[in-house]
Amino acid sequence: MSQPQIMPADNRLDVARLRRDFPALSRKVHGKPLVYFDNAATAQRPRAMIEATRRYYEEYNANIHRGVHTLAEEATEAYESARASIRRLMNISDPGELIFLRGVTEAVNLVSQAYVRPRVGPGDQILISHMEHHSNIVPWQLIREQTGAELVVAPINQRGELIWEEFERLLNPRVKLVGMVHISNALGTVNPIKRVVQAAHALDIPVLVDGAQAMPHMPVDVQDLGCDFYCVSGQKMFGPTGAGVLYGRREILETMQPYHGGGEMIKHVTFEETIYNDLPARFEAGTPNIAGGIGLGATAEYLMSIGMDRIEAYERELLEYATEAVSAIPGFRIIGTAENKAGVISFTLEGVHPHDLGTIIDHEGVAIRTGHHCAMPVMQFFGVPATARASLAFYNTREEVDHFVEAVQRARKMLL
Amino acid sequence: MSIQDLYRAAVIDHNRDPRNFEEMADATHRSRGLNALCGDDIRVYLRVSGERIERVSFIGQASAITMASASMMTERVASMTTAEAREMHQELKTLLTGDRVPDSARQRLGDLAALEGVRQYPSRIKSATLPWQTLVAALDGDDVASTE
Repeated sequence: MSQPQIMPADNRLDVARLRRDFPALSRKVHGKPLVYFDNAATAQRPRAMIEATRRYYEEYNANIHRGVHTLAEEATEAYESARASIRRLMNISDPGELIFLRGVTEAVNLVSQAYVRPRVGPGDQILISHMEHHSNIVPWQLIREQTGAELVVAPINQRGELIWEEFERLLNPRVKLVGMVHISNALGTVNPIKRVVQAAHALDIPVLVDGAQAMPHMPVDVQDLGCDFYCVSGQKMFGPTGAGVLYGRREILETMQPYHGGGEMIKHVTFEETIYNDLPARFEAGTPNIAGGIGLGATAEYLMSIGMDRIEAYERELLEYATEAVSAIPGFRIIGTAENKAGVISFTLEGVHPHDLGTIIDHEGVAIRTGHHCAMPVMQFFGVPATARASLAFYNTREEVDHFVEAVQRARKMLL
Repeated sequence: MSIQDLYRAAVIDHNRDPRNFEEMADATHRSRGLNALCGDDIRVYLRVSGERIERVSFIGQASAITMASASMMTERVASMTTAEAREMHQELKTLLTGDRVPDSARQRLGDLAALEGVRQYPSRIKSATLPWQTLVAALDGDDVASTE
């Protein structure tokens, strides 16, 4: 595995060198150097991940957990070693507690259908927050339709933070699950997950965390958080698309019926009955995204070699710099000003529609997201149809922030 | 291709100063146009007498391309018959997505030809056509036109 080059003496990130690990960052867009500020939509991929995926396809391409031949054994070993890498990154001690699947959307659907659905009915509640991504809203609306359970939404304040007192007030024995985003993709808010878990567990309510945006930006230790489910999308954390994981506590997973039926998730099948496999295979029906899992494992190793705590510290400084820099732009309104915030600047620009802004600054090489960010209730709360969003990663720089600010200024001049 | 080709002077002018940008109390037809992905949300009002469109207005929040297209539409369609307005919608669609438009059609489109730049931006074509879809939805009696 190619090792990233890092660790200057002062323990700060050597971002200029890290950037070279990401081939796409050196390309040009409309003749300008790419400034990639759309990391919350999907991140760029390091060479370590791309190479791991390539090696699987070129050198030991085979199905896993089946064949006895050399390629099959190599593939199985690589896949399970990837599982071990991701476990280390998230501090999951039990291999049965990490389920490979496509990403957060599939993880939430799995939990909602295989865990919550058989356990709830009319009078029961699912409690989520107002800042959830659609992937942690819609599966619960399906549960509401299927079971008659109620979907309750904990409110947020004008800064885009969970209103703690309201959340606490909504916790009651009728709540059968709390679903909460760790970091909001639309606002950047970092939720106090540990505190949420403690409050919910006091009433024996399990907690599912949508960790899509937290994994690429901060250390995530599921045992320290104490949550019952933690959902991860590989593509948001510099890994492959279509590869993600669900962490679930063994004592809960063991009580759950399978989600998908098929190969791999069985021990024995006759037409009369099927004996399901042990964890985690019970929830991994069918041939999985083998290359994706292996690539995600390589990404986890890459991130650990840099250190998530250092990534978090660097991004905090970069966000501070960016927040200060954009304050020079007239009419620039930041949506989401939580005290504890990750590197997301969601904003509106007076007189300029986000879509025009996105198109114009793309011509300056700057990639941002515009629209509702799959969090339409957040847009409704702040009374905007859409925002523009610059979302940062550890490979972004102050120079790129400056370039972004200049590009936005030019767009203003052009349209106003 | 330069960004000015998309945001031509006429587009910027109509966006800065949209024409007939108001609700219409005595509208006979109205509809709402939504492009959720982009956050475009407009309402189009028409006063139709017989087959004749007497007046068109619109309100809403939308990208400059949508605003300009809507603003130009309100000027261009007023006093047309409903059939002519529908035909112009088709001509505009051809201009933005199809093969070459005959010069006669281009002349009929007038100002609207300035929207031609979106041809190079597949993600923005819906922005330009949304007001027209909304107008047709209003004529058809549909409450909402959606590009999704």
